[in-house]
Order: sequence, then C-alpha cells, then structure tokens
Amino acid sequence: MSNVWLRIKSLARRATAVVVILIGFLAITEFTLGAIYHWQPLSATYFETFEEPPHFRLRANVSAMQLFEQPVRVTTNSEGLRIVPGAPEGAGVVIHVIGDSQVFGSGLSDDQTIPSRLQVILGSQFKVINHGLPATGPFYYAQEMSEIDAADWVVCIQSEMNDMEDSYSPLSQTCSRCGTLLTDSAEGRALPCFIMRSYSFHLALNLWDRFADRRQPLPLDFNPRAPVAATVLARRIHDLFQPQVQLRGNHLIFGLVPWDGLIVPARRREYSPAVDQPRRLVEWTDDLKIEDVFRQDADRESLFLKNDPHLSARGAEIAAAVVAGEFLKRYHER
Amino acid sequence: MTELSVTSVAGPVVCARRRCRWMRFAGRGAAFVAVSVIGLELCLRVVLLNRLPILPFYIEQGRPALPASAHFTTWVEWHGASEYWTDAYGARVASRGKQNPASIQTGDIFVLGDSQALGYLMPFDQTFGSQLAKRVLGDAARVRILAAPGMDPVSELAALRGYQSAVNLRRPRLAVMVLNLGNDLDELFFAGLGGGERDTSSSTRWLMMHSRLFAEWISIHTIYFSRDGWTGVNPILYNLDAAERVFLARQAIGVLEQQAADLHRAHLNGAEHVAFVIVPAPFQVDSRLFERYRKNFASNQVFEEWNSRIDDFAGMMDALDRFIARQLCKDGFDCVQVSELARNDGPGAKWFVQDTDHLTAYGHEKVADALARLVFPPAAERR
Repeated sequence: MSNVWLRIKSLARRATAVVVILIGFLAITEFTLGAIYHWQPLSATYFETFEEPPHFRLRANVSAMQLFEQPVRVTTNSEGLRIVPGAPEGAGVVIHVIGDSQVFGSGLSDDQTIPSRLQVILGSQFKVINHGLPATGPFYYAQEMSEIDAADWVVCIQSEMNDMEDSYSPLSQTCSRCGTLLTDSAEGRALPCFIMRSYSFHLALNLWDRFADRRQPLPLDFNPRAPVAATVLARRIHDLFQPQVQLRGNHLIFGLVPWDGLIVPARRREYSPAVDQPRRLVEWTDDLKIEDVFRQDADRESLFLKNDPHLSARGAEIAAAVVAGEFLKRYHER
Repeated sequence: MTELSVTSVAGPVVCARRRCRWMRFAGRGAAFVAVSVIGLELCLRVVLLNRLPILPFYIEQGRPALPASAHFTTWVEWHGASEYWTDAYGARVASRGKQNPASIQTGDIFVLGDSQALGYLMPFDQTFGSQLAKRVLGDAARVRILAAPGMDPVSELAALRGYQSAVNLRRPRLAVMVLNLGNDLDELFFAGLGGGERDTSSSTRWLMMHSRLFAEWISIHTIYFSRDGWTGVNPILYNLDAAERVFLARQAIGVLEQQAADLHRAHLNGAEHVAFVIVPAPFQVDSRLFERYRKNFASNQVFEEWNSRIDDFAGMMDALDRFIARQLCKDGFDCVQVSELARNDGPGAKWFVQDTDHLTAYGHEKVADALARLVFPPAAERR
C-alpha cells in the first residue's frame, strides 16, 4: 500500500515539474516574442458586438495600435467609423466610401487608407467618410448605402478576394470577441481573451498555417469549379445594389480591388484550387478599373502587403487616385 | 575516493535504467496499440468477409471519382453485397472483362451522374443503366456508368470531357444524364464555398481501400457523429429567393445541355440519343422520409417546426422539377421525371432507401422501364 502511495507521490511530483517547466517555457517564449514585437498587440482590439447585422462594429472613440508589417494606429470617431485625418467638418460635398477591410485599411495607419488618401487628393472642399468594416460584404454595403443621405456621393469599393463568398448569406460567419474578429465557432467563443492576445498563441497559429498547408480559397469568380455559383451570386450582388443605383444615379461609383493573385502571379500558389491562367467567370460593376492601373504598375508586388491580400499604403494611394479621378470627372459633369 | 567513483559510475547506470524503463513502457504501449489495430482489422475482415462497409471515392482534380481500375465489394444491410468494377478512368462497369475501354461496343449505353446514377451500394445489375441495357440491347453488361457520389453537373461535365478525350465511346445508342434534385442544385450553388474540396491525399486513398478499420470508422462517423448541418431540406430553398432559384435552375439547364452537346459530338462518336432523368428530393414523393433527419436537428421541437413546413418545401422543389423538365423538353430532349412516375405509382411503393435517400432497386427498375418506353418505344407505339 505504502509502495503505491509512494508511486503516486512520485508521479505527482513529476507531473508538477513538467507543468512548471511548461509554464516557464511559455513565459520565456511570451516574454521574448513580446520584446521582439515591442509589446505591440498582434490582434485587433477595437471591435465590439452589436445587435444588428453583421453583429459587430468598430468601438467608438478608440485609438489603438496593432502590429502588421509595422505598427499601425487605428482611430475611430464617436460614430464608430475609422477617422479620415484632415476631413473638414463643414464641407459642402460629402463622399462616403463603403467597403470591407480594403476600405477600412487593414494593415494601414489612419492616414494611409483609401479614404484618407482620397481626402488628401480632393482637399478641404470635400469631406470623405470611411465606412469600411472588415469581414463584411455586399449585404452590409447595401445596408450602409440605404442609411446615407440621397444627396451625398457614395463610392462602394468591393473586394474581389471575398465579396462574392460573403454574399452567400446576410448572416455573418464572423463574430467579435475580446475586441477582435474571429470565425464564429464554439472553440473561438470558448477561448479566453488572454490566450487570444498572447504572442505564443499567434506564433502557434502561424506555424499551424504554415505546416498544415492552409491555402486560402480562390476567389469565387475565378474558381473553375464554381461557374454556376459565381453567376448566381453576381446576379444577387447586382440585384442588391439596384435600388441604390436607381436612387443615386451618377452619385454612386462602384470600384473593385482586384484579387492579389491576378496582379501578382507568384501569389496564386497561396490559393486553392490552383489556377495557372485565371479567367474571370463573371463581370463586376466596376466604374474605376483599378485593376487596369495596377496591371500597368512597374512594381506590382508592392501594391499589396507582404503575405496578405490587403492593399499596401502604395496600393491604397494609387486606388485613391483612381477614385478621385472618376469622382472629379462626374462631379464636374453635373 | 571509492564512493565518488561508485557515484560517478552509478549515475549513468541509474539514468540508463530509467531510460530503459521509459523505453520499455513506450514499447509496450506501441505494441499494445499495434496489436489492437491489427486485431480489430482482422476481426472486421472476418465479420465483413473482406467487404467494404462504405463506397470508397476520392476527390481528384477537384471532383469526386471512383478508384480507377479497381475491384471491390461493398456490404450494407439494405442492399447486401455489391460488387464494383471500374475501368481505367473510374467508370463503373459490369465485370473484369469490361474494365478495358477497348471492350466498348458500338451502340452501348452510357450513363453520367452522381450516386443516383451509380447505384449507390447497389449491385450493378440492379442499376437502371444495366436494366435498360438488358431490355434494349439484351445484355445487362453493355453499359458504362461514369458517376460518383458528390458529383454535380459541372464536375460531371469536366469528368465527361476527360473521359471522352481518353476513351472512344463508339457512338452509344443512348446517353443518359441524371440530375439529382436531392442535392445537385445545392452543390452547384455552394461549389465555391471555402474554395471547394481539396484532393484526397494518397494515404487516405490507400487506407480507404485497404483498411476495413478505417472504412468502418468513416461509416460510423457518418452515421452517428456527423451533424454536418444537412437538414434534409435543400439549402437552396432557404438561401435563395424564388427568382434566384429559377435563375439557378436555368444555369443548371445550361450545364446539362452542354453535357448533351458534348455527348452528341459526331467527331467523338457521340450518342444516337440523349435523355435526361430528373430524380427528385425524397421528401417530394414521400414526406415521411424526412423523419430520418430528426437526429440532425438541435431538438425535437426544431425538427417539428421544419417538419410542419415539409409540404411547402416539397412544393418549391416540385416547381423547380417541372420547370427544368419543361425547359429540357422544349429544347428537344427526352426527359424522365421520376417524381411523376412515383406519384403515378401510388402510395406504398418504396422508391427511396430510408437510410441514404437513394433510389431503391424498385425505383431503378421503374426508371429503366420509363427510359425504354420513352426512347425506344415499341414499333406499334411509334406508328
């Protein structure tokens, strides 16, 4: 009996030692990574749950840092919209820029986003508002448009990367937790915030992504296995926007941020299924043709963030110039 | 001095002993697992008489396919044993003698579709393709079925093109294309979600064909643990509005007619006749079949809410069924609407297997009858 008791005690001692060693190892890893990343948060801290679709929004009056390629500052105003530095309060003409993370400017600082660069180009005669909200799609865009004054200008910039897939359902597959966005799942909801924010957890996720060959889904309009889905969803998107097209006419401008794999062929290997010669299966409503400008660029790789399909500061600057050109053309044609 | 030397010698010895103990422990564990796996594998082989409890199929080049040049036997309670032979491109054939594409004769029958066309877990001679060949050609083996579970019209078209470029079909007397309303329209609509399915790894393929334990695990997982969100009601009915569903149906018709055009191509020794078979969702013909999905719902109450609307859902699918059939008819194709056959048959006839939503042997027989009447009517009827 005493032998068994001794064995149990010995096992418990060993288990405790293993746990202590593990905790120590994790603490050292966490400390080292924190020092490497200058203690900047790796995940967003500026989202909150909201009762209306898409059931999350930006928190109002936030000024937060987040580390992408470099630390970026994300600031929101009292209405829970990302600020556009230098946007004048009393300007007579208001331009609302609607979109997802490409318009919001994921990975970019407040002054580098498309709406911010557009404001700089257009000057103080116009006021640009950033309605970009990550992880949204055409259902959100249509909803936002319907709440904007009919006299105002609206620029809707769609994202080829995921907007078609986002239009499968008005119900978002994303939820807000601990200030960040994650896929709505039981595991995600159960994860404690301190783990979600830890550097070790992010490192583990990155390693998992790298070794598990988790390639991103090919945009639906290029997926040769889904021509019917692309056609039906393109029609759905078209129908969603029709009431606003009729209401706003010339005051509504549509644009499309092209899929990064289309502009930078080397990036196609990050997508599944693999396509060598991508062929767009359906056409988007696109007044801006940002793609044409991107294709002519001498340094296409620099138009997007590294290892990320979002526009870089340079890409956003060029896209803003295209938006400004089309807007001014229409504005002077009135 | 003596003590020190003893310690210095004893140290490594103790460590080595500890290591030995751990290694022995790990070795025993590994041996136990290996013996258990081998034992279970042997037991299952004895119990199943070396037959497979599932129908093995892979995702290859993004589309489902049966293993090529294969021979295996499946066994399930409701059909018993079914032997499968496939040719070098994965089409189901009657026997070893038909595995070589060179055995195709002019005037054979060719069937294209998903698991309904394949005769899921069903003996070859009970499939409607084989029964039709027996009636029309007098030989139940003169049919080739290019089908696999999970195929949709787009993947069928890709499979057909691949097959035609590899195999000389020698002008089939009849090519039959199956549209399965049980899931084909849904699969077309959701095809791109998440990028689509990845190709099956070679290790999974090997395990599927050679390990009864792995196959049994898949079978048990599918039956008891998989709540994949499939409610038994076609998701297009609650994800698309009526106009979108009609638009989707039109797109599907477009793909089906491309299949027909490809099969007609003279330079590829295209088929003499092309006909379509439209298989309904089971609840269209018998709402009681919806009962089997009770386990997929979070509670009985939720299930009952859905169940109370099952006739409405059936009405929506019927509308699509009629629309597609009329459109194909209008475009000059022969078309068998299985929902109509089942309704005319009266209550009590068992058209669908309760456990899998696939046509029964009786259903296949009736489809073969209808196709034979439609495409090869008796001389008196023709006059």
